This record gives sequence, structure tokens and C-alpha cells, in this order.
Amino acid sequence: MKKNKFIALGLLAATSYFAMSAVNAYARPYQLNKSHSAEKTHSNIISVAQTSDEIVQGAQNFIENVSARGLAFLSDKNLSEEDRKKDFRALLMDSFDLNTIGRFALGTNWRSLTAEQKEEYLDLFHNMVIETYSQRFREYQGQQIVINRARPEGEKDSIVNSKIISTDGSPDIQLDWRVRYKDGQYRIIDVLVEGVSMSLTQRSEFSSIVQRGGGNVESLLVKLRER
Amino acid sequence: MQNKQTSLKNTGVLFLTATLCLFMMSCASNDSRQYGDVYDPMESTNRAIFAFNEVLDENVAEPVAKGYRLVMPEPGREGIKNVLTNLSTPVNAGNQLLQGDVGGAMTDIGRALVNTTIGIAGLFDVAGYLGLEHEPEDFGQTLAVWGVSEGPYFVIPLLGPSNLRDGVGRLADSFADPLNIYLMNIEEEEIIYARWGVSVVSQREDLIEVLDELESGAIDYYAVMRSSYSQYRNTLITDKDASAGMAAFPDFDDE
Repeated sequence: MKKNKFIALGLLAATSYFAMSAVNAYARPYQLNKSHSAEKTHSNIISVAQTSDEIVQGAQNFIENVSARGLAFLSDKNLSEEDRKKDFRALLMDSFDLNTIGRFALGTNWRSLTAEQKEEYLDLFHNMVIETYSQRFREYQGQQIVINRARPEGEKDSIVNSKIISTDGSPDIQLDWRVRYKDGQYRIIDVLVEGVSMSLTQRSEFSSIVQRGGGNVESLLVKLRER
Repeated sequence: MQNKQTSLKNTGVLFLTATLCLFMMSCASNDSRQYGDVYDPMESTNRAIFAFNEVLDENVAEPVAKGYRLVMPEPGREGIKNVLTNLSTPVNAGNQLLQGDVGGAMTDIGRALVNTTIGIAGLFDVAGYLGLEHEPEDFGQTLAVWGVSEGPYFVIPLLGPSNLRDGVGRLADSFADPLNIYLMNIEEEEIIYARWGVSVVSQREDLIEVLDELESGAIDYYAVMRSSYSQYRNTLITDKDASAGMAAFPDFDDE
């Protein structure tokens, strides 16, 4: 009996130790971020007309506009498949920074491309994204999107949190938008579905394809042309 | 009875050892990978198992899930999900405690009390309506909170994407589940398998659209699943706080 008590006590101590260190590990980067963002606000006042708060607010308004625009044509039943795709393409081109996403998705492999290859890759990437996402949104069933709040991330980015609420009572889906403010314009550079980053997943997939193609980026271009 | 208790004790010792090994491993591994890259030293084996799972999924799991959706109306499926969640309370609350989240454990216990009584054996998530939301926890997440890294990625036959940490967590959860221990003691193991079967079908039904979309949009579906799994687990570990571990996203003005 005494032995058992001793073991229990030891386990308790070990658990609380790990819990404490876990709390510390999570708290530290958060505190660093906080002081960092405070600094950034200060420098923004000097260099740019807009404060960090205004950028974040702007990003949130931007996502509200984009989603309203998207929902408008998604719920328009009279639109032909062809027109819907055209509208969708326009919306994507206006609101997403596809060149930045495409470059991010290629990672360090970008540098090994020739100028023509870069141009071809970005072209193929645009088409792939538009194809994939117009298919993805075809099965729209009246879901609503609720935009909750936004916060700054790094120098120019804001993360806008939103939720997709379904009509059939299934659980909400968490949707986060990474919006970059650049040259006086807001553009989406990443979408996170339940914390899974589309841009990061794309990069991981591309890097796997290049790796399996013997490290040659041409192998990825071949696959993209096939689609 | 005597034998069963010794075997339980043995599995306990086994998991303690496995957990210790994981600690050693996570301390020893020199992690120089970029965020989002998954450590996959057994990739070719994993790809083979993944392909096998895909065939099985296409021919068995997906048709069964679709049939289930067809036969069982939405409220019924929701009710079954609620019952499964309610049954997972002991493991869920236990992991909350192990993670030092006393509030989370209290929420779980409160949820179970309300849903088992007013919610009629867990069929209705009354507590959820009252604002006591379910937060999925498991021993894989607990290990992560304790500082254990993912370890090598691997695809489990029949079950799909996992890694060493989550695989050990999965086993630990099912062996430590008081409900399972009770059912084993009264020699009603069939109920354990039935519960497991129902939860597999229910989860697959939940994922019909998600997996369809991931696959149709993918060139290398294996790589997409590997990355998505790892990211999704990280979201669960940080309790849906997307701000933790946000990847750096460079600006490409320089070139």
C-alpha cells in the first residue's frame, strides 16, 4: 500500500512537472509575439500611414467583401456552369495573390527554374488552383460564413478567423484566412481549413513530387501539364 | 480474473516503457526539418500500405459509409456520434487532466452528466447547446503536450495515417479506457468491437466529402494526406489555436 502511494505521488509530481514545462513552452512564444507586435505598431506609425490595427480591420473588411461576393454567385441558381467558372476565376484573381502562393508552394526549387519555366509554372499553377477550387465549390448547399475576428501575424499579414455554418446541423468548420497587405492592397495568401494550411499542404505535395522525380522540377511541370 | 489483472499490469508496464522510449527519442532527435515537412523514413513501405488501404477504402469503407448515410437519417447519425462522444468521456477527461487542463476535464464530466441524463444516454448533446463544447483529446495529444515529438510518420494498415507518438497514444487510450476494462472483465469483448466498428463507420461517413475533395485535387494524394494529417494533429494539440506554430510565409519582393 505504501509503495502504491509512493508511485502515485511520483506520477503526480512528474505530471505536474510536464504540465508546467508545457505551459511555459506555449506561453513563451506568445509573449515574444506580443512584444514584437507592439514594436511593429510603433514603426508602422512612422513609416506607413496605416497603423497595425487599421491593417487588421481592413483585412477583416476585405474578407467580408470577398465572401459576400463569393456567396452571391454561388447561391445564384440561374448562373450557367460556364459563367460560374468565369466569375470564380475573376474572384480568385482579384482576391488571391496566386503568384506569391505559387512561389511559396515551390519552395527552394523556384531558384532552379529558368525564366521561361517560371512563367510556365505560374501559368499552370493558376489553372490548377482555379480548376480545383471551382470544382470544390460546385457542391454549395447554402452554408453560411461567419467572420469572427482578426489579428496581426508578422509584418504585413493578418489572420482572419471565420466559421462555415452548415444547414444540416453538422459541426461548424473553422476557416482561417491569411491576408497580406502589400502596395496598398489586400490579398489572400493562405486558407486554413481546421488548421490545415492549403498553401503549406501544396508545398509539401510539390516537394514530394520533385523529390520522387529525382530532384528535377521538370517532373512537377510534367504532372501539372497533364492535369 | 487473476490472469487478466496480471496481463493488464503487464500492458501498463509496456506503455510506461514505450512512453519513456518516446521521451528519449524526442530528446535525442535533432530536428532540423522545416515546419510542415513530415519525417517519413519508411516512405516506400508507407506508400504500399497506403495504396492497400485505398483499395480497401474504395471497396469497403467508403461504400459502407455511403450506405450508412443513405439508410440512417441525419438526426440518427448525429445521435450516434453523440453517444460515441459521450462514451469517450473517461478517456477524454483523463487526457485533459494529464495535460494539466483541469477546466477541460470538468467540462467533460459536466457534459457527460448532462448528456447521459437529460440527453437520454448521450443521444442528444444538450450540454453542447448550453455552451459546454466537446474538445477531443487523446493520449497522442497528451504526449505532445509533454514534449514528445511526432516521431516517424507511418500508415497503419486499415486505420490510415499516424505516427509513432499517435500510434502509441491510440493503443494506450484503448487499453486504459475504463469502459473497455470493464467489458473485458465481464467478458463482453464483443461490445468493444461493436463500438469500434460503429465509430469507424461514423467517422468515415463524416469524412466522405473531405477525402473526396483532397483526393480529386491531389497529384500526390499520399503526400497531401501526410501533410494534412500532421497539420490537423497540431491543430488539435494546440486546441484549435491556429496562431500557435504558424508557418513563416516570406515576401518574394527580393527577386
